[in-house]
Amino acid sequence: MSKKSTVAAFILALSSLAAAPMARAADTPPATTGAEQKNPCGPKKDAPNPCGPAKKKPANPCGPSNPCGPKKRKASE
Amino acid sequence: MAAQEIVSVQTRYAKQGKSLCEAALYGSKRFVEWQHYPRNDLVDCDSGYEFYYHSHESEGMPMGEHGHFHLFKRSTSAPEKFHHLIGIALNQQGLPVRIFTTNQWVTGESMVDAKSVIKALRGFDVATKGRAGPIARWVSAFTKLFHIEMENLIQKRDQRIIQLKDMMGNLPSVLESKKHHVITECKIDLFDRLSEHLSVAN
Repeated sequence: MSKKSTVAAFILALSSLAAAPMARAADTPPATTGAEQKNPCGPKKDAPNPCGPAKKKPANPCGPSNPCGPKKRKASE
Repeated sequence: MAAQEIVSVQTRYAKQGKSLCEAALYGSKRFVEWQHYPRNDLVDCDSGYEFYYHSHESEGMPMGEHGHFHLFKRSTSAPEKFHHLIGIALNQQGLPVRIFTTNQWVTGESMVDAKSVIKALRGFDVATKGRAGPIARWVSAFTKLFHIEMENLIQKRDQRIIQLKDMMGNLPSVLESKKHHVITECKIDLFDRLSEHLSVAN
């Protein structure tokens, strides 16, 4: 297979993939399809603690895990 | 060759019905906002390179983006010090669509100048085995395939920070400014780049 055909085959292989679902909040139940939802066009479900304090965001939301921890971890996953 | 590696990894996943962004979750059933994949990041202790994949709240994500990789270089002599190299955003089909640099507060990095970041990025290579192996190879190859764009963004990051410092009065105010999350970014087209590289090789 030529290199150009390689790119064409690559594009074709990827074209069959479905869009991956987006991330959900940690306290959100797993996604249900429209048909499974009782009220697909209803108002938004109330938050579990509508009057609770706002979730505190970390100071460095995109930092590596344990940035100040000792270097113990291994690339083994 | 970087282009060939990228094609090989993504094609192999595609044959299993998986996109790169699904593979980057390493089998997790749920994709949770802000959670790191893998949970403790993928770390190469010998080189000091590490990366992870994640997403912000869907409302805060650019249209069509699924999540992004953050790449780091940690100091091998002072492990508490690290710097952010580049961010690589994927769309919902698992194609890389954007690369970006971030402000200091976003990752809590020890900020170093563009020259040092570029030098570290040139050597980026995370060697690992198991299910993360292909992802690590893909990310490493990607830094080679788009190194020119990445270097431009990193240099422009420093220029932009200097501009902001002049506007805001001092550097700490800029580096901690929540109004400035992404400092520089650019869209990329993987298919175009692959065609260029693989055509040249013909």
